[in-house]
Amino acid sequence: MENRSDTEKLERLTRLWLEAEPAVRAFVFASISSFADAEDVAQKVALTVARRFHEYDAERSFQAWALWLAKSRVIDHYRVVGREKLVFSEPLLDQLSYSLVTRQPDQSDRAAAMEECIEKLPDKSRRLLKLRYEDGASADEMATSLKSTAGSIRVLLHRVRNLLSDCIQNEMRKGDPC
Amino acid sequence: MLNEERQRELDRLLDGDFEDADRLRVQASLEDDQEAIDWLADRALMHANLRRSISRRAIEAEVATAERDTIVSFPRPLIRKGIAIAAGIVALLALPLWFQRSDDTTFVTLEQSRSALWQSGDLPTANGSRLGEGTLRLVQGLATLHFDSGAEVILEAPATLILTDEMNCELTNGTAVSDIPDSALGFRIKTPRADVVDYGTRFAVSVHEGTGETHTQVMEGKVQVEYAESDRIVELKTGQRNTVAGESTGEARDGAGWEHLTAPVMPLDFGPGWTLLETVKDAYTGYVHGHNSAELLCVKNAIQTGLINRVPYLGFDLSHIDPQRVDEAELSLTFSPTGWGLASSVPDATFSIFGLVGNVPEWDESILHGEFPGEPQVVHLGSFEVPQGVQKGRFQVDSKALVQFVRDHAGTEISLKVVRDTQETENGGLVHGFASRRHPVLPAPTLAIRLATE
Repeated sequence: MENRSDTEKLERLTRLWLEAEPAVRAFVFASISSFADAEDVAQKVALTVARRFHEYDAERSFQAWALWLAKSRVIDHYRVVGREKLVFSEPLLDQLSYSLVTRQPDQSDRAAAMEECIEKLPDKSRRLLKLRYEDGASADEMATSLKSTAGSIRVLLHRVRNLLSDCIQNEMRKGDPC
Repeated sequence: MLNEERQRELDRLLDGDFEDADRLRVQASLEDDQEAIDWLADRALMHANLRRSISRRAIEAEVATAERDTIVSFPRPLIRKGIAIAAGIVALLALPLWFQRSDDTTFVTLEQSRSALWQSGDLPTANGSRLGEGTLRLVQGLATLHFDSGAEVILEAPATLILTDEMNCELTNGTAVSDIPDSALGFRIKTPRADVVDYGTRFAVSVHEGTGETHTQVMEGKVQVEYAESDRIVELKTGQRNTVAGESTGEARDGAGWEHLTAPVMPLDFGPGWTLLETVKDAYTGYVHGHNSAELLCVKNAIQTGLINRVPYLGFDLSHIDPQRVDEAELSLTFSPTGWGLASSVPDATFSIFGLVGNVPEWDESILHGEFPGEPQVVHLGSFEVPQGVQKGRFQVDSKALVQFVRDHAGTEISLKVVRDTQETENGGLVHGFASRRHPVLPAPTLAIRLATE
């Protein structure tokens, strides 16, 4: 039967994980291009964090510890699929990890703001995001689907992301009491 | 603020939208560009959120449609997407389940065996450590793992093993030799190309990094090799072996006792017109009890004097070489870790090759671990540098002096001496080593001579 100490640890793990998860997920998705593979690896990281939580030193940053475990899972993935699928070298993985630790802590608010912002996008932009993020389509595949060129699609996708980024910033400012 | 072009480049990197050469170029450009890394980190946060958000919207839309149309069964694409999204949620929900099981999540005891050297894994590597899920990267030596299920796995370097639980592990490169008692029947070693499942036996699995080529050999008992890319299963019995390479899934073949290549080595490749001569004799002088090798020629320049200093000698037979036709000459040595000494105590090291001249005494391989007979005169033929910490790779000398030496001595047998000019900075420094002609896999010291056409 679960005792009080276990419950407290569980609550602590859940709280820490919810704070760290956006950065871990971003790290994995930046390091592995295939969404399906990235989702598999992100899931492995979550399970590893849970299994090894007893090793976590509370004096250290939980996010940094979780990212350290994530780095190891990503390197394992590179080894399995072959180095030709490698997106980042090991030193770059460290740099990216360090940068993510220093990003804004309000990621859950940002995710909520993004939902608002997606609604504000024109239909064509939402269609583009659907092709990219739901179907995992490449620039060439999106170009075929939308009767355009890969070059134009890349520019368009970049602009949609910038629009979203600006919109999220604005939404966040609205919620800022200062 | 990054310019538009740079931003688009980084977006393409996140999208996996580059060919190899461009991807490597962008990777290299990031190394000293913190602003770009920070931008990429922000973008990655949005990228991952977008995947979750857009996928969730798709599921919600399809569920709404399904409810409206009172369709009971979900269409397959929806199920796939659902699984992907659910995976993230399940992972989070699984936290308490794992957590509640026990505080002790270890299932392996690590027992170091011989000269084990580890690289940045995420598990402790001290002798006797208890290990849970994670990755072991063994650079050098052997290590024995005792799984709580009773399975024993000896890892042979270089190797990477991912520990999953007491009945499962994943070998991504290197060799694992397993001894499985009845308590661990069904123990599984996953490789990139196949799963090797044991049914009470002793067997070895080797995986070549990069290609994923998998060799399995059964010394005793029974093993099943299940292929990752098809439903095919091959059963191997005592004395049988199997290779999964390229498109081939391989058959069960007799001859488990055969040596197979566990670490692929690139052959020496000089084009047409070159004659390759391997040493007809090679040995090193110097000796430290228990620190010697028959396969590697050890080289050391120690602070102490005496036998701790190791100096290799190489003999080549040039009796069939016409001195008039010698155009070029190159000596190649293939370095490999000896496992002895601290690399941090030897800076970038210069090695020199000398030719023995004058009254060269007769010598043979019995000098191994001993002393060279006499002190012949030497001439310097060339040098090369091995950076600090580097213990593997091929190093060459191709100087004019070497060409002249070969010309001068063509038609006879020559002797060369290899000296590490760079001394260790502290006692206990690294012993370098390169493959001798007795090495089972690596190329012997090789003198390549390009002969002019007659």
